[in-house]
Amino acid sequence: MASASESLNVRNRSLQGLQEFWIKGLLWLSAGFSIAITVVIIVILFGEAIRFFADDSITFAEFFGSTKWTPTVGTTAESKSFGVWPLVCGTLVVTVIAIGIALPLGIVTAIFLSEYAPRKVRAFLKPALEILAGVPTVVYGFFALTFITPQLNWVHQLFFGEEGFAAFNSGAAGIAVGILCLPIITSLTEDALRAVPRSLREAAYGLGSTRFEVATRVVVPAALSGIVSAALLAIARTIGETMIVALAAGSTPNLTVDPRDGVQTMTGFMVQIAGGDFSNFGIEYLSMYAVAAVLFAMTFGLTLLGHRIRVRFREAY
Amino acid sequence: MSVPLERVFILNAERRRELSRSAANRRRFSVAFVVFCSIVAALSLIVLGTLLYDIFAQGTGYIWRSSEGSFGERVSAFFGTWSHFLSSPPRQTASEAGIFPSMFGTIWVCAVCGLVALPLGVATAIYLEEFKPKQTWLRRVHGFVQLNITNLAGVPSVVYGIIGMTIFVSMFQSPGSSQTPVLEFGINGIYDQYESKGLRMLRVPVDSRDAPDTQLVDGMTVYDGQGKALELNLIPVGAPIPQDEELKRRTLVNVAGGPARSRYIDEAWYYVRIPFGRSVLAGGLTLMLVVLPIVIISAQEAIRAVPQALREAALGMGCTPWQVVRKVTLPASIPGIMTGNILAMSRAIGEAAPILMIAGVVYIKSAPGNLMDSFTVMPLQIYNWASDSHREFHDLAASGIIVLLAILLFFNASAVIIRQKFQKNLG
Repeated sequence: MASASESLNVRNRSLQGLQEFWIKGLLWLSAGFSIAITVVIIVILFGEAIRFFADDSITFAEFFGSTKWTPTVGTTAESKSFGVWPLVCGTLVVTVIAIGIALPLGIVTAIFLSEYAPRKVRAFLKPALEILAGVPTVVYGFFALTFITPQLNWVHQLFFGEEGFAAFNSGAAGIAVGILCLPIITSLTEDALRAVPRSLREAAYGLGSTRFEVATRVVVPAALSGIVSAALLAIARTIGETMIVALAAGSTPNLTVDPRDGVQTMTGFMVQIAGGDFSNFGIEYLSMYAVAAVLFAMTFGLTLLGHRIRVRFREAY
Repeated sequence: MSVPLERVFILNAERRRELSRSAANRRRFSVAFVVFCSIVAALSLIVLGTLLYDIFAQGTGYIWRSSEGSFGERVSAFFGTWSHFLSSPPRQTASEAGIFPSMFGTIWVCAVCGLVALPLGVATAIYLEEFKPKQTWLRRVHGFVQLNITNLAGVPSVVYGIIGMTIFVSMFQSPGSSQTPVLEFGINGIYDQYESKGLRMLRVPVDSRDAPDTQLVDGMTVYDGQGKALELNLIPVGAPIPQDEELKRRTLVNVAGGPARSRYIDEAWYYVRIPFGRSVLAGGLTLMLVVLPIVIISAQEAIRAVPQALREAALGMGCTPWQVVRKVTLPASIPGIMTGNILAMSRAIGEAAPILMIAGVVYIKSAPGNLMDSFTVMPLQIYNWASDSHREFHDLAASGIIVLLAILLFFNASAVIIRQKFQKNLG
């Protein structure tokens, strides 16, 4: 009797061992899936980009040297021009406006939330920021198109006596993207500020510092790596933002820094090609992969850098 | 160390006054800074308020203005217009258009996305949190997977759109297309379809997708839209069209080259084909790629929040690592995992860029019927309306946004409720 139950137990054990092995294998496979996604992204984007550059009429020097982007003009590869700078410029203009708005506002809001806000105000403000972060980007695009642009024109009329902003302009798109980035920067910065230990603040107060001095000379410097990484992540997010610029920034690849003009961003171009009725095998279709590869390289680099900064320069207390 | 003592502790009267003045200045400046901070923080509230007000005013204002009569009649007309908006397909005229197909498109796509992303994401999170290897090189792989997921979360969704288009829609530009699939499964029948003089669809079964055109013969058996067998009444050109309604419904005019014909594929609900084409399945899987890193990261956080003591107690009682996960860690972290998942799904509902790459700018009149149907989703429909040059469509876009925000509110509220209700204090 005893030996029977013992052998049953042993069989159970080995069965269990087998089960453990299978389950571990399955879990490992699903973790490997995320690696596979990265590999597939890189292979597809850069593989198709190489096919794009393999075309006789396209040169590397033209792509990164020319300032004319007219992939949809004419029918032959010779009549089209592929210089990526207008798209990169459009992206950068929108990014600079967005980050120029979101970074200072976000940091100040985060300082308020972590250092000064009474609990009741915080309980009100945090959910509001979470709602702002959860609003779909197409809504911000609509808001930029139908609200921000008219308001910008109103302000422009006030100062210059005439409406200066085009119906599609990088200014309104930049502001909307800035609103989108504000909660991201705020919450990441606030996390970094809250991680600064209380003892540092108390020491500074003990030495006679005011609340302003404690915030700006002690807490912010101590959390600087977190703030820089928040800014980098927000920039990556801005560069990859699509629906807002597709709706509000227009679709004319301009090499301009004037926020009143329409621009086309890299993401805007990808949407135009994918949404339009261009042939699936034409050279302009392949150019979409080249642009996507540039976009991917930029955001991937920024994300990696932000992560590195956060890990390496973290002040450990 | 050679500083004289009196310079440290004993200050003359003038220096003391100067210091106290500057201290008052510093205090004043500090108060001003705190006020400035609160004003800036209030800005985000103002922005949110403006955004919501603008959209609600635009999305409901035109409906209210178009209603007439007494207050009660206007209210009932108001809700009538809303229910029409929720139950109709998009149309060329703004006042008749609705959001029905895209709402169902959203449900289908998000169901596919959730069903794949949830198990995959939770499994990855369990592997990363509960099965940390001990060997050095395996630990390195482990760290690499973790870093990789952080990076994937930062990849723009439009890039996932391109990837989804290449992998799922065209399947690496495989020779087939959605009209001529390489492989398909679940077809009930293939028909040649004609429109009769009584504006009914008449169908004649054929053998395959590329079968030659059917030779119509007077009196042959055809089927109507409901599958009922009818006797075809084929009349020559110029012959009088019958007046009898029943006869008219099964009458075709035999013009030169045969009556206008289209090929109709009767697909079962489980119909699948390769390549997927611009279908619900391709869209859902692409969205899965977008939200997978979010699901993984939030599930990891939920699992990490389970106290180590619980795991050690289970291990001490002889549980295997998988038993610890199944009996202790997973049950304890389910509320957190569900919360994270619902938030990831609300991200998927609002995502438009990858779906725009997959589905394209299309005009969809009905809800999808199977995984291979073409589709559109609410954010994409809103994008189409918002990019229309006619102002009436902007109003429609605002109405669509109200519906979208209401659905998102419902999702987020249920996430909060789950968090409040089921989160046990394990510490």
